[in-house]
Amino acid sequence: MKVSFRSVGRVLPTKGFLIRLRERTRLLRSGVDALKMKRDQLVKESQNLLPDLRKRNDIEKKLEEAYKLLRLAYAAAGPDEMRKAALLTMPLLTEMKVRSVIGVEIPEIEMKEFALATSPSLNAVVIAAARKFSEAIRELMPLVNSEAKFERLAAALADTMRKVNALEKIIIPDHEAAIKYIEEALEEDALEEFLRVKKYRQLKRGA
Amino acid sequence: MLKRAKEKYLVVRTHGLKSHLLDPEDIRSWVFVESDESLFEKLSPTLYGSFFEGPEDLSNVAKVEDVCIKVNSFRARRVISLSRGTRIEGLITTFMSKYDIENLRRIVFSLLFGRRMEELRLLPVRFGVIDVDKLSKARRFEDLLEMLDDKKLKRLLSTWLSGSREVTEIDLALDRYYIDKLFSHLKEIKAGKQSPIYQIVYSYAENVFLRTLLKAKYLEVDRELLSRAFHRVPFKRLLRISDKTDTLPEFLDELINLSPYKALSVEIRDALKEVGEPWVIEHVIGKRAYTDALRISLKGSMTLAYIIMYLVASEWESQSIKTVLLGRASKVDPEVLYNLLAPPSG
Repeated sequence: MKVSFRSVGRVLPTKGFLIRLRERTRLLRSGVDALKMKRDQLVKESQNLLPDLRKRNDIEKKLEEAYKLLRLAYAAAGPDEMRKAALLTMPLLTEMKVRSVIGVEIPEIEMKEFALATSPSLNAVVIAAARKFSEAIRELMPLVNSEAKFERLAAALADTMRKVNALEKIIIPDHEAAIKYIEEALEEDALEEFLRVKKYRQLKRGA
Repeated sequence: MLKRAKEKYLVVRTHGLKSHLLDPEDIRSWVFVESDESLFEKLSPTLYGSFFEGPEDLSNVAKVEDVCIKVNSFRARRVISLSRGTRIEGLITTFMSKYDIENLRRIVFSLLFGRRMEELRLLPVRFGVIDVDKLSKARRFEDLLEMLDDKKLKRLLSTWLSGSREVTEIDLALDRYYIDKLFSHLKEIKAGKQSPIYQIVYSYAENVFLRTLLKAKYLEVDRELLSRAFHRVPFKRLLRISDKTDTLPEFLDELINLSPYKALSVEIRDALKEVGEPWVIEHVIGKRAYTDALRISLKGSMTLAYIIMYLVASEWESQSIKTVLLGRASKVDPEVLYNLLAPPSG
């Protein structure tokens, strides 16, 4: 007779299957331990990022100030002066690397070249806005990296938790139930066999 | 007093032209006008009004900028055409050549940073001192050098090209070129140091120099480079202060002790304290240039100085109109704009 358990599949009440199932359950338990270790490490890594993430408010404030100055620059210097400033602007060059933290791939952006070319002939308000923006961008880059790292770690953490829960709440209990079922079935078979042998002996003696 | 009839006529005509300029206090109060429709009504009877077709143009930043520079250039051209054949014609053209120099600066920047032609936006005014349209076709510095007619400019550019090719260096050199040109024209018309025309041009050039110094100190330009670039300009006090300071706060601290620069220094220091950046430099200098010109012209309202005062006043007017209109379009706090256009306190 074959019985089916959701996460085990078809169960054959045989000794060989029981041995395989016990082996698999042991492996699953050690997997849970490893995943729990990974979860704890991910939590620790995420917590280490918190001081960096808290800087977001300050950087947002700096960006707000920079935008305020940019508006003033448009008012006081005009868009033409901004276009002149753009002639002097070098593009921001970045390099992206992927680093692995406990098996989680984290993108890291590094600023390669960010030179702010200004000149005394530019309107002071345009220089001021450019400086504020460059200051904010310099601080923004580490935050971008921390936020990207945090997002990836959080996704990996959720994934790990889901796996731990599935193993602890569904897969391992299913395996244990299957083992119990096979043990009971085998025990029943053994008892039946014993009674059959006993009956056979009685019949043989009576005959 | 003016001896030549044509010059007399020119000054009288400039008095007439000056009466068409708007009152700075009126312009300043426009920052509080509620709607573009009401502001358009106020602008309609002015020279600016003829360039704007409707209230919606007042929030078109490109149009506003274009109109302001064109009105200023239109007025300057009128004065130049009236001054034909007088001693001052060359001086007025040189005075306005700052726009040509600014365009040359943009051409140099675009070549230096390898910009495409469509990225180069030149100011829409020409005063013919430099053939900007011809120069804008240059694809390499070698072409630019070949196209330049002015020997001094050619020498200046080739020295820079064979040197560091630093943006700041060419910037300072072009400012120096403008200041020198103004003084060489003063010499040409044999203006005595005590004459109002000398004083008004001297004062304007000093303000140009001071603006450059303030921004150079703000950008912490090497003082050696500054002193080399402005070697022997006639503004000894400012040069002395520049030679012993490196940063803008240091420069302002020294400037505050000199009474002519006290108000300016205080205003820039206030901005530095409030915003952390001295963003008001241009406006403070613009106001100072305007009030200085006004003060000097009062000493001799029937002299050639009055013409330069008119040009400075027209420039300040178009700058103020631009600030009001662009400030409104960029939703800048009206109080900030109002204070920005306040007359100097000193």
